[in-house]
Amino acid sequence: MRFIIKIFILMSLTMSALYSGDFLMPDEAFKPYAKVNENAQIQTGVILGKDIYIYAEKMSATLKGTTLKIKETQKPVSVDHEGEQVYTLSPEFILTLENPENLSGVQKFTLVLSYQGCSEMGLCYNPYVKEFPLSLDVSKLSPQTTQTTPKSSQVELSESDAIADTIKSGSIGIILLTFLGFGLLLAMTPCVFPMIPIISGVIVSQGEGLTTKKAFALSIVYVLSMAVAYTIAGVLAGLFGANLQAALQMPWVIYSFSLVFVALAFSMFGFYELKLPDSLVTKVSSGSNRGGYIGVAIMGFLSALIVGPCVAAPLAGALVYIGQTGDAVLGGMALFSMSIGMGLPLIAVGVSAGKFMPKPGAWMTMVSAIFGVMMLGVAIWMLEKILDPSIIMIMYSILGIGFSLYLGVFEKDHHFFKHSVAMIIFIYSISLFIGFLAGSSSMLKPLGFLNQPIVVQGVASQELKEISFEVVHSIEELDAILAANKGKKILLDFAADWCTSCKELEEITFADADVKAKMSEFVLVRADVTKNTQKEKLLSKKYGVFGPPALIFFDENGEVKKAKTIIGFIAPDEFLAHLNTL
Amino acid sequence: MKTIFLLLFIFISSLSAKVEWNDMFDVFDDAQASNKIVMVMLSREGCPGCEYMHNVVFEDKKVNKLLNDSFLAVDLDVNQDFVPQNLEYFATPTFYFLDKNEKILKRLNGGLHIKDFIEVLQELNKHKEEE
Repeated sequence: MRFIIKIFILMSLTMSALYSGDFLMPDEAFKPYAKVNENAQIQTGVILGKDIYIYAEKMSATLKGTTLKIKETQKPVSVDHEGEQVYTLSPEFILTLENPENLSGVQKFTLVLSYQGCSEMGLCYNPYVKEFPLSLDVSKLSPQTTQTTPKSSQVELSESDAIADTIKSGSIGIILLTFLGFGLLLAMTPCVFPMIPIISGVIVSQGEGLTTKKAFALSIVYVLSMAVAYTIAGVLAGLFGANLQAALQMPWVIYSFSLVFVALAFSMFGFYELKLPDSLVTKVSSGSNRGGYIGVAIMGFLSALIVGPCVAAPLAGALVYIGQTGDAVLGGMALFSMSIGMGLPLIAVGVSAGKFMPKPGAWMTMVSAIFGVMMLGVAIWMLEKILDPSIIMIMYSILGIGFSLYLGVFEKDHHFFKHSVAMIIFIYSISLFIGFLAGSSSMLKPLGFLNQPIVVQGVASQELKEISFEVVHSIEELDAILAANKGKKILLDFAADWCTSCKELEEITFADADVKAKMSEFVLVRADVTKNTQKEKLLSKKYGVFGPPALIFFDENGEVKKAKTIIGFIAPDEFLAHLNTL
Repeated sequence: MKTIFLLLFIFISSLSAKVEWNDMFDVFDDAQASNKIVMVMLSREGCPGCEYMHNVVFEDKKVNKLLNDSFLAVDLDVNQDFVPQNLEYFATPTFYFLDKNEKILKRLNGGLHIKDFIEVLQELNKHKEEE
């Protein structure tokens, strides 16, 4: 088709004036030049004669006879000319140089400019290679060019490497404070949310006679044990270079943890009281109330499982530091400080749960029940990592229906507020149920299948243009894809089914229309490390990934752009801005 | 049915006679025998002028009849084929017309439209007959 169009264009060109034999001779058609400008950059280009154009891919500039290197070539914008990219206006390249061997003084070298072009009259000139002897004062190179292109002169570090470096160079106090800050920031992410019902539930389950002081103490115990577990897991992961989450995500661990929550939930419903066996309690402590503390400590310890999957740059930074230096003490302290930061808001939650705990009575029963339902929700949430989404959906649905019935959705003598809440939960749960029957797996849009456009397939497939990843599980598979896509930009996404932040990335960031459009410029590869097999471990290790999500970018030459690595969740607009720098 | 297709095929192919391209290697032997003028076209891939000559000019019935009757045409891709040293070019397409003794009769830089190209061919032909 393109061929026919070409012929057509050729035929329709104003050929009468053409092919008259009055062609420009090569030296009239192309006037090449090269010079060094005041910013120590090389400007080189070709002044084109009338109706002359140059093929964009056939024009290049290289250096000869020097160890100076071209760091960056700024090229003009090419235009489409009968299916080829060409320069129709005299093109100029601006070359920014770098000095890897640290030469000094004025350096002489040769600039080699090659190009090939045609005349609109239908004549194509031979390719030309022109050499220009140039000289350049090297001392002008680095500082000034740094100013024009501030980003590329220093060795760039990814965020997590930069954090690792901070630990290396910073004083202990600053490090701990910084990580406390990181922790506080992380506390605002969805990773920590499931811990809110846990801590409140644990406090409330202490029952009557709970003082604010005790609530505070319990919360601290909870957060401390969470932090300790988290730190231990982190240090081990850092030392052994293992995948932290995978260690915390063994299915049996998750099942048992989930069961703990179910048990807790039923105790909230008042089926029984959850207490350590009396004999054990008396053994462990002499005091009467210590059992509560131990239970809370166990809860906190297990809760590290929940924050484990939240890999963010600071965590990775601390792990990289531990991995690189083997210094588990300082790295561990940083991690501990971070988890305390994550826990601080939880302490506040715990204390207020204790403080505002209602007096025993009907209200108390209601509040306990609500926490029980939340606990069951957390139990299902834990299972989300290892079970099929549709199963999770039906579980939530049943939970919701049960809860709304408990609230009395069909009874008339309730306060209208309670009734509405019950009704909303009921309707949503029913939608989940219907969604499950219809094969939907989205919790947010269980009835999304109703919305599917019924249009001509061709149109529909265009509208529903989804980004798709090539999935790999090993270094070999990845290398094959890298080799096959030389010359293209590649995005490698480390992900796993059990990784919460990966789901966020997928459902929020990658679902954004602008992001999708931009991402289509990349070859998309997904390293699926769900099973954490030996091969998957090696793959993670090769790219220094402690756990998903991690986004790694390769340039056109298949080199990793380390500075561009993203660890953890990133919001759509930030991600878009990041992609635009690539 | 088959015969209809066959007839149709013959009919169509007779309509669109093609320029017969020769091999540079022995084209001058043929020229000695037939006393035809050798036309060497120097072209390269992706050159719009070359495509125009092939897809438009050489597809013209009158052009390809003239070429097939009185010329021996050779097409050399400057990037792939060996180009004799005396056939200089700075661009493609470039046409050389040579007699049987490999003497250059005419050099044409760039292509021509059908009408002009026929004129060139006819002039060369006339010139040869006058000799």
